[in-house]
Amino acid sequence: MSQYWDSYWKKSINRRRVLAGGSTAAVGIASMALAGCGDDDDDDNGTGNNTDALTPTAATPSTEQPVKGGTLRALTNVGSIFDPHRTNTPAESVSLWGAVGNMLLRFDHKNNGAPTGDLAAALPEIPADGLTLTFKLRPEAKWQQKAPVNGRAVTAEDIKASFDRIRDPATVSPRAGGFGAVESITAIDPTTVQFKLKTPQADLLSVIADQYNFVIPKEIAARGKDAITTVADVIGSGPYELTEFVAAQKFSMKRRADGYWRPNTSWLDGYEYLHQTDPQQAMNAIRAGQADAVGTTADLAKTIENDKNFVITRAATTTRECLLINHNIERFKDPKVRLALQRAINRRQVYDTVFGGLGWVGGPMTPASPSWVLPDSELEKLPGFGKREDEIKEAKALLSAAGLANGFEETVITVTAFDTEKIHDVVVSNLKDIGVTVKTENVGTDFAANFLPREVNRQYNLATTLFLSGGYPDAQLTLYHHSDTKVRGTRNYGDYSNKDLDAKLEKQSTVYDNNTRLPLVHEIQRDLINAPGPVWFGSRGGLTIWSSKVQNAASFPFVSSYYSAENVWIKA
Amino acid sequence: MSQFIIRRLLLSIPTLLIVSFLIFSMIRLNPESVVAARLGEGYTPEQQQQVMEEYGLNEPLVTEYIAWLGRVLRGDWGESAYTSEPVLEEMGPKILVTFELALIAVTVAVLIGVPIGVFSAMRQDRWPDYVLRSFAIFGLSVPGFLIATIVLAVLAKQFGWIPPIRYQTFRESPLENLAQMWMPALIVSLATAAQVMRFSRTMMLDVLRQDYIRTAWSKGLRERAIISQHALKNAMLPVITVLGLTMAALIGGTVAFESIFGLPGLGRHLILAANQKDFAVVQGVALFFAICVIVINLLVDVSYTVLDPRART
Repeated sequence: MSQYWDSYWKKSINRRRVLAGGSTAAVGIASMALAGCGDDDDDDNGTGNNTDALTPTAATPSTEQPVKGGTLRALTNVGSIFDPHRTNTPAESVSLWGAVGNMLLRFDHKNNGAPTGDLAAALPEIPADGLTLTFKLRPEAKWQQKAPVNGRAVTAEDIKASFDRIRDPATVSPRAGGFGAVESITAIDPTTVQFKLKTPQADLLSVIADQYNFVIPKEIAARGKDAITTVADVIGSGPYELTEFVAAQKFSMKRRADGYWRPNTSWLDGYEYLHQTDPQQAMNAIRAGQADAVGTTADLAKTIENDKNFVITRAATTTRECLLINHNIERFKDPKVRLALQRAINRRQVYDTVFGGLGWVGGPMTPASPSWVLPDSELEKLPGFGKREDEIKEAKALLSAAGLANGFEETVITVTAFDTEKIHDVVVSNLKDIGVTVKTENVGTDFAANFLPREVNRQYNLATTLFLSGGYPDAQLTLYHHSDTKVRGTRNYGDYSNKDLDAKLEKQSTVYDNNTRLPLVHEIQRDLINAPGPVWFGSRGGLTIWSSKVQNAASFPFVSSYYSAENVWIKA
Repeated sequence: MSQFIIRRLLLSIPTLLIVSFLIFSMIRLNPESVVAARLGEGYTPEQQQQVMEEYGLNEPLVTEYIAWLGRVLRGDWGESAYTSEPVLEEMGPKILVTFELALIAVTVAVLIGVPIGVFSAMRQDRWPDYVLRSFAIFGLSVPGFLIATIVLAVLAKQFGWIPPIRYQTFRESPLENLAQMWMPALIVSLATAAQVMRFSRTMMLDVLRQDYIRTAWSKGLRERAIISQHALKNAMLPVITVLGLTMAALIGGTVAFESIFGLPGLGRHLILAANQKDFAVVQGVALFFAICVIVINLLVDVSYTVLDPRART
């Protein structure tokens, strides 16, 4: 089925228009987008991945002259908290603050999602010891014309106040942990801010550019935990102003009256987001002309593939599906058994069966991180990515060498949420192919209440599950594999422990130069495929349907979807 | 009559206490889920403690319950942990949406169900009776949310039209409001109309076999007069009970329709709050539903006693 979508894009959209990534977050799928510019020579490889689709770009690029006017109406999952430092939902961060605010750094969709300056004029100066990051700010950046800032310039004090608020335990920000290495933040002068670190942290630039870390005025930040609870509290330096927010119902924005400090980038009169999470109802709405952008499923997208009124975009996400292994269980201490499980999973089948072909096979790093992921040409030579019959043969041989020639029986926990239960069905079938009989324990429908505590408390042997984190090495590798489960590897729920790997993880974490860091990150991925902690499958995708009137709609990885507010317009 | 009402009100107090305690205690069975819902993964023990304190999860259950009950009786139903808005204030507009939907649905159900039920009874075991009963069975057996999903998909695909998805209150725009409400109300009312139709038919058949109706026939009265002046009032008494129970069920049961048609009602509010583990909101909405059921039942009983004095004893 993956071939279906690949051929659809090659057939129906010319090279310039191939996309892959709808700003899915912008329409509320808690997933992300990775856009792709087509290259007809790059066909499927052994993994079944279409790598063309993994290069970020705009989804609906247009060469026409932008025009002002129109309201972009999207359907999304409107939540309750619109404080960017406290919310956990992309509708409020990417869609709302992405239009209202700016960040110190943001991900550059023209450079594989690498961090670049937003309010910062450029990337920071970093001395050789890697312990000080000095940012120069854009002097032209201005807050919106709202009290108490009334259009004043964005200053280093605002940056300091924003990040100090995120770091402050009293704020209870889910992002506080990302700044654990920061010792202090100092406003050197109005346009210079300095981060002092306890230890070098190469991914700090990505953490700063994370979709939730918007800069707010120091006057608002000073109000503490409950600083942003009304529409009047939402003051950004971005191109649009929030005019209405009704929890779990809708929010609206209008173009800022005093003009955005980046001229000729805000074209829409405004945005209107309504709450609707059912893909069928969203499809009905866009068919009936009541919405301009909606998230959808592969099956529904097929029903409008030839309709010129719509453009479909697809995106890899940074959600990673996996088989979590509890390394405290005696059987799984044997690397041969774990490698057998790694080989047993038919990753392509997972994404074809469960997601209608909309997914990318991958290893320990998500395919949605094109800068860091192992290339498919290398991946397909590693265990678990070869021909199915060969993998089964090798897996059985490994089990035999581990003294389990007749296979074994194992309980695998799963949950009916986020399609995990469907992925689990494929896992059961795959494991059966190598002689492993699965006894399923489905804990119900509440992921947070019933499933996550089982993982956190190591109350499982194997678990079919998924994880969502940023698309950079520390968030994908260190967080899930480092044996220091209190500080560095807080999501290493299987207690995977490998001292050599720990050293490699720590080393890459301090290397700011990406060219030097990349081989280290690749080596870690190879190590983890050959001696798996969890068995990683890859990443599902997301689909967005756009009205063809919407021009230049952004289509990037999840973490940089906030680009979508700039340079988007609606054709008259 | 007033003694009857007071007695019924007093009887409802233990019911409310039991219901409220169950609601209060059940959503506290797994405090960790609250922390996970609020912070996602990877939170520190300090953050966990902070959230537990924020939600009052460190106190003993009974202490917390008594404190909460005291506040509720003083009109303080708490604040949403997510929006910091008072629970009652947040519920206000959503109650109106759900009540409007339920009220229109019940009205439509009565307007459709009663005449058809009466007509069906008058034509018992003839083809119009069979046809109408078949429709009633269809209405009862096919879930409303399925009908709604199919109808909307067909309308959108074939005609490029669905009811407006941008909700507007009746005060903001009566026409827009009704344009959005009529279709969900009609579909919600199908099952209720079928139930009312079957009940009306059965009651009418029962009444039509009574001696006083036979007497009316023998006196030479016309069918219309017999039905409207003698049979209908007596046949409708039990139907009122059904309508009351249906109204109570609809207030708590329109969540699927609110989701499908994008209506910001109380059911959708409850689901979101439950997903977010927003205790105060879940407790408030569930308590409100319980009060609704009790009040509506009381009103049904009162109306019954007004129409039939024998029921007062």
